[in-house]
Amino acid sequence: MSHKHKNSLLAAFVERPQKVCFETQTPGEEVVLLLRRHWVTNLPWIALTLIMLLVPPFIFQLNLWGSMEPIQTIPPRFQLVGALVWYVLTLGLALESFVMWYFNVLLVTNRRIVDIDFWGLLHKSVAETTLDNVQDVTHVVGGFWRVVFNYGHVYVQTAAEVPRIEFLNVPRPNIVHKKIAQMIQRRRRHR
Amino acid sequence: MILGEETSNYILNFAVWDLTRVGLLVFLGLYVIFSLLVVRQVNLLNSVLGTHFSPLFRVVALLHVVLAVGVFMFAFVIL
Repeated sequence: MSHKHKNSLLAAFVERPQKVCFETQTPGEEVVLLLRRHWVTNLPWIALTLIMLLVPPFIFQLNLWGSMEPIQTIPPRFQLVGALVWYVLTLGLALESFVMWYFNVLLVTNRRIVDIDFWGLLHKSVAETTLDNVQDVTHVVGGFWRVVFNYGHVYVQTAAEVPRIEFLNVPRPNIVHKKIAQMIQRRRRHR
Repeated sequence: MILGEETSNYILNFAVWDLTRVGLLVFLGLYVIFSLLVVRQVNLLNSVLGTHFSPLFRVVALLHVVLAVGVFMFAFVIL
């Protein structure tokens, strides 16, 4: 089965991504795997954005049919500004949600695992562990949608200061698990 | 002095739309600040994880600021 999308930077599962660098990258360190939440997890905000886009035309249509009498009491200039504010809010919501999805990543490099998390407007946390410090990797797939779309959680138990790195709702967790395990084995063999 | 019903309705109506105008402008002012924070956030995110989409995100965030300021100015003039 081919996965044409797997090397696109907008994908949730990218093997050996090109032109990707991160803040704490060291010379010679290569990103082997870049993971984001599965695209299905974006459906709630995409649906909300679409509904929000449809609200003003819907109200306008109701108004034309005469079934929205209270709206007719609002001066037209307020109606216009209200619709513009609504659309700017919609854009803000979509932009913020997309950016949060795009930048919350788990990177597996040839040396370590880096979990970059952002939340709120200006908060970030970066957790990392070297592949040598990884003690155990597990993955969990549970629930109807996760089974249908093949996504789930990957947990990396470490001997480092951060005891566990978890990445939730990643696509193909079994493959992620396998790849990390293979990389660790390869490193241990070469030590 | 007792105001006539028409006069009091006029005053009430005026006060309602005037307050709505102030409320909308304050909200839009706060939204402009939010949009500037989004630009700051996108710059921060780009510095943590750089991809070839980074310049595009910066442009979209700046467009968002331009739109927010534009709607604020428009509302200020038209309301």
